[in-house]
Amino acid sequence: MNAITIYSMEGCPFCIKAKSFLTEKGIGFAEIKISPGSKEWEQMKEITGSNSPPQILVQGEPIGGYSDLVNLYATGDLNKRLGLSMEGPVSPLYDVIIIGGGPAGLSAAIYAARKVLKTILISKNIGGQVADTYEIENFLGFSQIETADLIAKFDEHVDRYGIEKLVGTDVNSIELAGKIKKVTDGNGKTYFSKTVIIATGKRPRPLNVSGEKELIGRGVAYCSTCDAPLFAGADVAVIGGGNSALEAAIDLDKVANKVYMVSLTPLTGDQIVQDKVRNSSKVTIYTEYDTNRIIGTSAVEGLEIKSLATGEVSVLDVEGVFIEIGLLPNSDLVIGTLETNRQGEIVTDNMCRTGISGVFACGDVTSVPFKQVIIAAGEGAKAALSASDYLINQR
Amino acid sequence: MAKEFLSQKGVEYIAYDVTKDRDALREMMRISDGARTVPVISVCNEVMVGFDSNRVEQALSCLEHSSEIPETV
Repeated sequence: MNAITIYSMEGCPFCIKAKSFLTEKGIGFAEIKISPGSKEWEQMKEITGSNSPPQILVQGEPIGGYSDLVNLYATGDLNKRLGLSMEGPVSPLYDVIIIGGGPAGLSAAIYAARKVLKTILISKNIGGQVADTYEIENFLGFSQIETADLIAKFDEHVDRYGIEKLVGTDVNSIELAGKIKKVTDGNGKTYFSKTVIIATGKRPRPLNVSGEKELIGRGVAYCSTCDAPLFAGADVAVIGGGNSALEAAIDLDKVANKVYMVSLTPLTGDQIVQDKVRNSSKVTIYTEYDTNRIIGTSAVEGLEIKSLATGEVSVLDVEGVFIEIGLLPNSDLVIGTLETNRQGEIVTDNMCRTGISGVFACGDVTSVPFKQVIIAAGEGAKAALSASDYLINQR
Repeated sequence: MAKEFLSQKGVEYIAYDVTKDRDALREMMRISDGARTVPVISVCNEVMVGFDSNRVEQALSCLEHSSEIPETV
């Protein structure tokens, strides 16, 4: 239920003012339309004792008309009655809130800024998954570039447009229904916007075995490109049998002493990559083996595996466990609200629309095929242009 | 990013490349109770795993009272 109710009548200028005032502040309200002599008119008179629309109720209590509403807001009393934060004025109303700071989100930010949309980008980091690889060789214009440099260029490009950025915080919750969308960050601060672009990307899929969570950064790793060099001369294991697992084994082969590959299934990656791994003298492959647990108290000391064929349990003496069993879309915020496919990816149409008006999605979190930096950047541009179109049509 | 931050603050530091220096890696894991990820930053007696500019800034306040040099790994 909305905390504010407005009795309004057609052609009443202060009714329009009161409604747009609340909309501008991002405060939701319910509207009861009245006409002289109607049942609703009588109801208004009875509750408020007044004959003059608009009449406004806050938490069921009559407060008066438009100017009373503005006064109540200006004194901070309205926020107090609505239970909103008392710190300073309520957040401004944005045209676009972009959630995510990878290639999709950053590209969306540039296109939004060029359409002169009031934009804020909220993200835990800048770069997203790109930061998990070392080099990019297939981004148009760059035959070879270190990802740290590419991300710095993206960031610099975005900064040139003076886009407001909130980096270092998660988004805790979003409310997408209605004309004004609400986004609440990890610190509990709420932002209001006419549109939302979801560009939250993907994350490594966890193995969900005992010891994994506890030992992240203590020998358990999800990014061989980032962390392989820390395992120079060590014995390590890679979990998984697809391309990313095989590539992790190749990364580790260069620095580690011994590499064990543990896969639940036969290897599924490309033949050419499989051959490379099989030909390495450092790599021992265990296929059709399950991972029971990761052993260690403050750092990884071993990995317990179990043969699916014989049930035999063995322990590999390793200091590192690289988990490379695929990616999960970061769509938890909108599961149940937006349409998602079996993988949990947000389903979009060819204009990045999600099915809820004013809500767009782009990049790896969506069902758009081929997860590539350049595709994510292109999709980000599309999402922002689509949001711009939507805003024009709303006027 | 951590190195840039410290330079910007005008703080002197010693950087150890733990991918090349096994002893430094062992020392890093010892002071951080097992961390095998970078950066690990030690300021005065405080050890921080990962880079959080607010935390580092807070930790640096100890330098006003002493002449110890922070180390980043």
